[in-house]
Formats: sequence, C-alpha cells, structure tokens
Amino acid sequence: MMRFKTLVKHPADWMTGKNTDNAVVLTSRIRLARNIQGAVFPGWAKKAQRCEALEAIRPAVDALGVMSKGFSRELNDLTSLQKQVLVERHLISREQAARGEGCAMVVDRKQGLSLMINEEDHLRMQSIRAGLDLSGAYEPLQQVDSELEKQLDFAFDAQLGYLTACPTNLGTGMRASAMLHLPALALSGEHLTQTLQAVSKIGLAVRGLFGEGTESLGHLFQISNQSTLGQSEQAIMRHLEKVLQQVVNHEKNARLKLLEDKPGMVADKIGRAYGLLSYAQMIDSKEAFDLISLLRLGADVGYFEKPMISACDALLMNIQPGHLQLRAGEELEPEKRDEIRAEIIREKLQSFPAPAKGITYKTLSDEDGQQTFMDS
Amino acid sequence: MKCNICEETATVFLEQLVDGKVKKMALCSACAEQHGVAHPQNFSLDAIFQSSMKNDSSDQDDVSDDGSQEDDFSEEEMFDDEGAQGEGDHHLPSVAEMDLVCDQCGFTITELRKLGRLGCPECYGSFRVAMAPMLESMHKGVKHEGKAPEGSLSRIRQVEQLKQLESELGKAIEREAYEDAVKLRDEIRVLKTEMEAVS
Repeated sequence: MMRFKTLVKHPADWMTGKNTDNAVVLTSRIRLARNIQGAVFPGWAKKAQRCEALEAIRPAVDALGVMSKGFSRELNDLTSLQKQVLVERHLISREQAARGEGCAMVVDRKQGLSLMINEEDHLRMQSIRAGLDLSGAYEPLQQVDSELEKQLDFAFDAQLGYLTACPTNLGTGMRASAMLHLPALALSGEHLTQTLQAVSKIGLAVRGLFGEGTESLGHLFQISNQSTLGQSEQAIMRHLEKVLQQVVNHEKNARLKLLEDKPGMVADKIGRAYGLLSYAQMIDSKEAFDLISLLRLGADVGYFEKPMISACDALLMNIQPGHLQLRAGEELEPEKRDEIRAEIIREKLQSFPAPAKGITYKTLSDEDGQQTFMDS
Repeated sequence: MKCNICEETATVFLEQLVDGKVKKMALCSACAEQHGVAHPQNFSLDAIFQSSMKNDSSDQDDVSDDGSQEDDFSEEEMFDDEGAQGEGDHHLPSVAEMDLVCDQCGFTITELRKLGRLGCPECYGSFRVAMAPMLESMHKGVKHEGKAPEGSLSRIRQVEQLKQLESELGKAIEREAYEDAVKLRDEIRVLKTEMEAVS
C-alpha cells in the first residue's frame, strides 16, 4: 500500500501543471456524490451505522483496479498534520479532514482520482486534470462509478436522480469545477467583479481556493455548476465549459490590454514581486500568494521563462501551513512559518533570473524605441 | 413594515410550512413573544393567523400596502388557508402534529429546514410534496436527466412490478378468480426471492 511519504514526495501532474497549458485554467475537477440505498446519511447516522456503511463500501472501493497500490486510510489513522496536507492538495475536503471514526479516504497512485467515504454523502468521488479538460476528468470517474454500482446499491430515484444528503446535489450528484487564475482582470479594476457577477447570474457558483466559504487568495477562483438536477452530466459540462472559455478569453484579453495600456505598471508590479519574494526573510500566506500570482502572470506574458508557471504552482502548494510543518517535521508558530515560507520561495527563485529591464522594455515598447534607448 | 397583528413596527419575520405551503408573517417583538415565537417548538403560524384574524381585518390591509416586501407578505398568501379551516373548528394543528417525520430514519422536516440536509434516501419520499417548491427553485429542472445506475434501475422496475402484481392479486381475489390469484401469488413469491437475493 502507498505510504504517506511517497504520496507527498510525488505530487500529481495536475498539481504542478506539467505538460499542459494551464496559464489561466489551472485544473478541471469533477465530483460525484453517491449514497447507499437504505442507509442513513453520514451526518445523521449514529456511529455504529456510519461504521457499518464504511464496512459495506470500503471493500468495493479498495477492489477497484485503479486503486491498487493507491493510498487508502481511515481518517482516524491520519495525524491532523497529514490531514491538513491532504486538504492543501485538494485530495480530501476540509469537512472530511474534521472527521474521524467510520470515515475513510482512498487516492489512486497518480492522485488523479480520490474517494471519500462518509463525508457529507456515503461516497464523494473526484477526478482532477490539469488545464481546461472537464470531460477528460469525467471519463475515468464515470468508469469508477459504473464499476462501483455493480457492487453497491446506490440510492436512486427515477424522478430525482441520485439521492444525496443535501438536496442541492440531487440528480447527477455532479459538481464540475475549474480553478482559474485571473490576475489581469483583478488588476484592471472593475472587470473582475463584473465578470464574476455575470458568471453567478447565469447560475454558476464562484468560490475561493478551497471551495465553499473560503476567500480568494492569489487571484485564484473556482467556478462550478450550481444546479445538478434537470440536466445531464454532458449538458452541465458543456454549459460550464462554454462559460469558462469566455472567462479565459476575458482574462487573456485583459493581459494583452494591460501590456498595451500600462506596460510600465505591469513591469513594475512583476519586478517588485520578484524582488520581494527573492529577498524577503518573513512572509505570510496572503502576501506570498498575491506576489506569486504576479510572477505567474509575468511568466505567461514573457517576463520569465515558461517553467516559472509550474514553479509557481509548486510554490502555491508548498508554502501552505501543512506543507511547511511537514517539511520542518514539527508544529510551527506562525512567525516561524513565515520564515520557512520565505526561505522556500527564495530557494525556488534562485534558478530564475530577474526580469531584465532591457528585455521588458524591448518587448513592450516597439513603437517607442527612443525611450528604450534613453532608459538603457 | 408593520406587525400583522398590531400597529407596531415588525421585527420578527417568520416562515413556516403548513400543509405543504410556505406561510409568512411579520410580527413586532411583543406579539411574537405573546405567541410563543421565542420557543419554536411550541408555536404554530396557523394559530397566529387565526388569532390575528379576530382583530379588525382592516389592520391586515396595511400589510400589503406597505411597500418593500409586498410580494413576500401578501395578504392572499398569508390567509390562503382561511377557507380550509372549518367554521368553529378551534382545534389547530400544533407544530409537532404538522411536522413530517421520515418513518425510515426519524428525521423531521423541521430538521431539514434547520440543517439543509436530509436523514436518509427515504426522506425524499417522506417529504416529497413539501420539498417540491424548494427543489424547483434550487435546480434548473425537476426531472433527472443523465446517468442512472443499472442496479438501482432494475430494483425500481422490480418494485413497480411487485406493486402491479399485488394490485392484480387483490382484484383477482375480489372477483373470486382464485386460479388467477394462485398464479399471481406464485409470481409475487418468485419476484420477492429475486429481490431479496440481490440485496
């Protein structure tokens, strides 16, 4: 069975955006909710009932071909630090991390598929892919679902579809979402608010980094379907993908426009972000996220080499409190965390040269060559 | 807006499901206290509707004339049950009596309103009527589209088939067609064993 150490050491491809265009859409994620016919939902179940459901579900999950050599644990058998790291990697939810006896999680070796047993529903299964690829995430998950339904009797109603603990998940039980990086829209004032408001008006939900009720850090946003009943999985994904594509275009246009209208401002922000991150001795999560966001933008518009994007994505994961403490091997006071966070960032940036003044002015002021000459 | 019972400014806004219909009411704190609203287990909007109706009905007109929340607190909506209450029938259902309970898991619709979640899959059957408006506003449709689990589908078909056979059996017995009845009884027996074997 996969050890926790192995899991931590080898982050999934989708976590670092390897081999994918993930400049705006970092990841695509599909989640399915399923419950066992005749069993009380985990939130209302007594401990014994919950354990009973776990015993019924877990063998079927562990027997899945894709889960062989995977990581499978009862929440009870994980330390709170390990749980936190799993949350930071989006492999389990915050809600599941708070649970213990009678609850379990199973992740495949590549960490693209993860299942939670006895979360809000008996089964919460998710699949994540790098970049914008909802159907690519759905297909393997759908197969797992079909495999499981041969063993398990899922609660289903011809009218209401899959029956879930919360009525907001009825029907397909599917939540499709994408994580977007929207720094240019954020820098261009009202555009971000307008775009996100338009998105929520057409029945999609906009959330922060860790889903429901979390704030947005580093200009990262999750957009997902709100309605799960009355539309097929494919229709939900098509609709969401169409909207995502529009938001991506908005962001890309905003990047171009920023470079055209305010090249000095952009260069200054990215240069300052690089400077701060390269020399800071203490930095908190929020500041780090916001500055790394600017480096990520900088890499996409040519201030850094492309590998900077995946370096940023690795940083966004590694500088979170759980990861910091795991690396340090002990629990850390916030102040100490800020020190180690700064250290990790400085180390990582060493292999990336600063955005050279000459380069930026050359690329950005084609029409204004004289100024370039005078400045340099 | 004004209290639905007296002329004071309303500070307490209530919603309660009565016979599958959402009833709304606005009360001032004194009237709310008087009607035991502070103890949600013990009060019934219906009871308050009744007692407020005994007041001068012109009071009620103010409610819908009052601008902002006119739609939410319209007179028709609040008193749409007026006719349904029999004349002189002073027995009003208490909250406990009105509260729907899932006989499978003991979950109540009051808890659903409090927690936003249900107790078990059977709850959807128990609360179906009461939940319909809620689901309508929550989702783009009311009928499931998309994937369905083969196993559960065949179970649903079996349950429907069983119901069908049982009603035929009842009819056969009624018309004293005992030969048919025996046949049906055997079919039911086979189907039941099949269903048990699966689960």
